[in-house]
Amino acid sequence: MTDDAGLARLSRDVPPRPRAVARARAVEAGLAAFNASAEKTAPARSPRSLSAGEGGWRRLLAVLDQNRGLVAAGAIAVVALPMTFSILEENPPSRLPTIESAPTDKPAAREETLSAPRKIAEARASRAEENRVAVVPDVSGASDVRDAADANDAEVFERTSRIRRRSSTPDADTLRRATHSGRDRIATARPPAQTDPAASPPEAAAVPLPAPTPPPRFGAQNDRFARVARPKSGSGQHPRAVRRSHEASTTRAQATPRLAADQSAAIVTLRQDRLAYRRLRATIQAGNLPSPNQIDTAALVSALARTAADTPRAPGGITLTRLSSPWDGDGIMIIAAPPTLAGTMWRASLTNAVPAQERASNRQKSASGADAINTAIAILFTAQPSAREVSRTVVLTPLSQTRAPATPRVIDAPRALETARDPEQRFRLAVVAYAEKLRGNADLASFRWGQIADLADEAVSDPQDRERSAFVNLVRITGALARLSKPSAATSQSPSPSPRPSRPAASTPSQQRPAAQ
Amino acid sequence: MEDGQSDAWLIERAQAGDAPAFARLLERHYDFIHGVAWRWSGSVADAEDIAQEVAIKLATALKGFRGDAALRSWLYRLTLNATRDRQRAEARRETQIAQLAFVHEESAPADQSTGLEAQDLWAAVRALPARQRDAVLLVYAEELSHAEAAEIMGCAETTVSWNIHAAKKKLRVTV
Repeated sequence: MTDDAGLARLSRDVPPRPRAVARARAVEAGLAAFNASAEKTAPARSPRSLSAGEGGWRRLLAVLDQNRGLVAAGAIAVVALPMTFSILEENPPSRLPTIESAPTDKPAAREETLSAPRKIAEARASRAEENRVAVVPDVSGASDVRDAADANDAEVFERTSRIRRRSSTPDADTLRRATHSGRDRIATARPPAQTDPAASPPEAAAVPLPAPTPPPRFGAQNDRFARVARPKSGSGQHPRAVRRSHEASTTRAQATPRLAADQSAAIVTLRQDRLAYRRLRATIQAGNLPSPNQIDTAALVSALARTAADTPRAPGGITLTRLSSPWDGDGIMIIAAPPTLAGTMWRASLTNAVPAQERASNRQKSASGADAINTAIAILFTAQPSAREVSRTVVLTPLSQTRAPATPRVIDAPRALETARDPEQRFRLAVVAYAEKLRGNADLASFRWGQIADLADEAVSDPQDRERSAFVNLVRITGALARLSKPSAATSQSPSPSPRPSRPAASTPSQQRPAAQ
Repeated sequence: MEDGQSDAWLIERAQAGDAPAFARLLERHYDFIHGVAWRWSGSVADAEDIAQEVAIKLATALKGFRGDAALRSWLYRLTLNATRDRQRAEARRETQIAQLAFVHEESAPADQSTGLEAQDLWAAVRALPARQRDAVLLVYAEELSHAEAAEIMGCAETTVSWNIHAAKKKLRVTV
């Protein structure tokens, strides 16, 4: 069967006759592709390629299409040449006005035929005539400069007016103050071009230029802007460029609220994640921070609540807040992010802040799975107050050690509390609930801050567990701040339990605000 | 030619942009394309789809046809390439939906022959590697010479002979 005779059986199977429908469909598809490719390439059809049935006017059109340039030139010649001849017959060249033969007694005609430089020179001369009558010997230096320029040298006038527009001395009073004695100073700065000494006093000829403003000194926090405004090589930069860059940097610096060092650290951390960085910037700007060195936590928390309320389930939604910690002065950063962003956030923003072992374990987790919800919805870490980068010491990442998929959705946290008996599990749920409540999750509206704090407090078995105690205090602080920022809602919310006695700083919000850092 | 217009004339007109000439050329060779596709694919439905793809390819590729090779050889290459592309795509798709045991009526066994042995032979030939399958089908199903098959496959004649030899060895084992 596999020899030549056997394989020859393959040729006995005659292909079936193709269906007419399939044939028509294939031809139609081929024609459509053919026409599409023909339109794309737009081949120039030569008259010879036309079929016999396409003769006559189609052939003529094809010829015209191939010789568009000649056709256009011919049409122009046919239309334009008779018009030109008729115009020349009516107005012979001897009657056409020229500059040399223009009548000088008619001002209108003269204005039309005069060249622009000559017209400008005459206008300046006539203005100098008027100013010569009106000049007063004891005017200020600036007036002298203007009069002298008007009377004598148009170029000097143009230069001085240009300088006056560019410089920061917009009026004559400023110039007068700068020159003090006026004429003496002006005389020393007189330009060499003096065409009419009778019309202008010798002491009024030039403008004393104010010294270019040196680039301002910038602090360390504005180093990015200082780099923009600083001259590249000594004083070789043009004053105008220095001024423009200074204005631009000043505008940007005014538009961007200055951040404290630890806030800058957080931004440095988040800068790799563009979306999170932009959202953080917007949050901080919406908070209207009162001063660069003081963070209004209440305003920040309320701004966070507004942001979270606006985009509660945005895919890139991330909220960040910073609260003072009462035990050692370091800051605590709470980052709450949706689970879909968790994997990215771990990799992008906490590269240097999370130990390698935890990074490895988190990388294996699904960003949208239950583990990711439990692991990265909230992160606690410190930022050194004076450092410009995030501390490598992670105070606590309580969720990073969580592996139990007990809460498939965060909004189930309150219901899961009833069945969760494990203190570890309850602590995880507390952190998740805290993060979701920070984000403004409406499902957790009835779950009060105090309940979250109590839930987390049950898991603090060891008094030396500073990290978990700090988290409990943090929840209570947040509850207090939330009541302050929303006074109307404070009546409907039951008072949270009093802070632990060992954390007196959590008692009032005013004590939670960090001092000037 | 039955309608008095040679392939060369139709090709020249089609290359100049004459759509009716292209349609005439396509209708004239559709049966051939369909038959080749049917032999390689083993299914009427697949053959129709392949023939349609070849028709679309022909619309753009015809401008590059310079008449160095015979039109039939050129159409063979176009059809075999389209068949290979389709089979690769189907293989990928089958890999993706391997878990879905869905049997469609058009994926029924090939209908070239009703005999069980012939079906086995066709199935074994189609299971051969692509080059060996092409060589066997061109030589035995299309009844072309080794030289013609080599021209279509774009290889040496000895390569065709070697592919047929290797195919026979495999068919002895499988059939």
